[in-house]
Amino acid sequence: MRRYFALIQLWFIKALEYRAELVVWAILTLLNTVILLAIWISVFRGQTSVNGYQVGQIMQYFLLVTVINGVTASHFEGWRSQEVREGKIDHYLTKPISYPLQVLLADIGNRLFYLTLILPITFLVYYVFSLSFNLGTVAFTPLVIAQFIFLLGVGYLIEFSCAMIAVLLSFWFEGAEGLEHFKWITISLFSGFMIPLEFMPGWLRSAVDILPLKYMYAIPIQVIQQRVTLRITDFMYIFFFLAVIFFFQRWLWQKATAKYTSSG
Amino acid sequence: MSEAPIISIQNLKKYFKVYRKKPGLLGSIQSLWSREYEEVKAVDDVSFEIYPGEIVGFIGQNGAGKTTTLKVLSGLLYPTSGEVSVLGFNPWDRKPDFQRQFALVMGQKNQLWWDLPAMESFLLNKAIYEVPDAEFDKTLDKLVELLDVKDIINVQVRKLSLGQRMKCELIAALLHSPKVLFLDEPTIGLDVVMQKVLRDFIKAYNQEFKATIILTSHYMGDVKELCKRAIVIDHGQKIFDGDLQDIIDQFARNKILSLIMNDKINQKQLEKYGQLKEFEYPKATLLVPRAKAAKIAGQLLTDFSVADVNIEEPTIDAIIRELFLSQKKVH
Ligand SMILES: Nc1ncnc2c1ncn2[C@@H]1O[C@H](COP(=O)(O)OP(=O)(O)O)[C@@H](O)[C@H]1O
Ligand SMILES: [Mg+2]
Repeated sequence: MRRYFALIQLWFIKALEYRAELVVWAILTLLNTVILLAIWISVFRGQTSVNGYQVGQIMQYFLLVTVINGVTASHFEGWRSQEVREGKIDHYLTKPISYPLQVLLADIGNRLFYLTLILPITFLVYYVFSLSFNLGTVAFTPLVIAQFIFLLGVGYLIEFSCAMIAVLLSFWFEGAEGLEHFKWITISLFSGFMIPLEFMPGWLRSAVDILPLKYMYAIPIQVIQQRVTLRITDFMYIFFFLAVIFFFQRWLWQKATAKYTSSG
Repeated sequence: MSEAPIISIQNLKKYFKVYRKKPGLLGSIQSLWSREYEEVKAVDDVSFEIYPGEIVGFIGQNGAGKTTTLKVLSGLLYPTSGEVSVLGFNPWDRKPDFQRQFALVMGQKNQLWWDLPAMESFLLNKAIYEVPDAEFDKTLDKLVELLDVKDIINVQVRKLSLGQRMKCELIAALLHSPKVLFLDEPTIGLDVVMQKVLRDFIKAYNQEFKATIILTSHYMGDVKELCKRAIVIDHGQKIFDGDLQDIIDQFARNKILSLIMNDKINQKQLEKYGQLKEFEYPKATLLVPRAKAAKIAGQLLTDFSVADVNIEEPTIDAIIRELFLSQKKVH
């Protein structure tokens, strides 16, 4: 266990080297959030509440989206796939920690670094907006926090797995990293990233209710806003889904590793 | 030898399927539905055994299958057929207990983090291999001293010269004190001085840590200095396995004399001393019999005004060509 922490820590340090890139990314993300907030403010003009949300709550929704996105949204498909194609993963494969696990630990290190950037800025934005809007106070009870953190972990694992699957597929297909765009669109649409569930048209809402992606954004925010609490069926569904994508990755990895040609 | 081999390969084959595309747009479109595959026999029925503590030179021309063999031994590539055992493990199983005991260093691929000082990569490996603090400090100190890199391990890797980087690559690979070491062209692209430094280091490492080493190289100098035993492969097949000196005696009868002349002389004058390979004033290259090389060099120095003279081993390619030709004659 200690070595895993050491690895995360070293990748955190490595991320520091790319801070300029991450700062730009963080600024873009926040710009995106601010624009979204502006749009929703105009939607709410002249109304106190729409679909059960007050303007403050909707703003809180999208600020939380930014936070969750900062924690969970991994995207290493591009450079990791390139490494696979160019035969540059040899040194990962000769070391006594499996390649997928090394990728996971590296990504956690990167995420943590990104968080140290995005969290303070988000809180600053939160504070600025809270001066003119009532963002709705949140009762951070241990139960709420526990559920929220749990769902953050779930969201992260889903994002990570999608990226990992793209990397694994790049053992066979050139351009597998293009799946990143597919991932992005699917998650944007079906997770509550773009709009809260209550604002979705009926057909979309039914799809979202069936799919597990709602546990990434919609549900954790509803938990914070105390609109829902997780039930046992939620846990069962989550574990089932995570198990399926875990075993799918393991299966892919076993195939991929026999397929690897270590070119170059 | 009475000991059991530490590395053993039996009838190893590794074939690659490569796809051939006809050139141009038409070829690209055609390849959308029909692809032509061709089989490349990178390693084709190779067997050998290596005993603990040996340094074996693994030589062959470009594309002979050296790197592929080392990759199979490291568990990177799955063999097409054959038996492979390293340290009692099947490398392909990639057991952590196996991986902790060997290292693969490739001159053409690096593991160091490019944008950070090498020290960060060392720490990464320390964590991955779970090297205890005290042992890490001890090993690192020793390696840093042997390679004389004290001043550079805290400099960003991309700012280092090729030779400095290679030294750091070696350190990164050796921090967990591997018992078995695969070195794939570690001196490639380095100047003569740096080649010598690395050579001396590899020798010292082998003696001090009793490590078993397989070394591939393009430079006869490397192999000659380090290895008693050589395995030669050509087109994926083993064509020689034995004392390096035997190959040298039989197939490297000549040495190369490189001269830089001070005064203008004509070609005729030089041809008396040996087989003239190249002549372009002021440079000249002569092939001379191995045993007489020193004597002829001395003669040249007295007969002409020579600015510089150098006695070199023939290239591996040249030796292998001869070896290959001689075998053809036998069959
Ligand atoms: N990943 C690969 N895919 C297809 N062909 C390969 C691959 N790696 C090596 N080869 C081919 O196998 C042969 C042996 O290559 P290699 O082992 O790299 O030779 P060496 O290291 O002796 O120069 C060459 O013909 C090379 O083109
Ligand atoms: Mg090679």
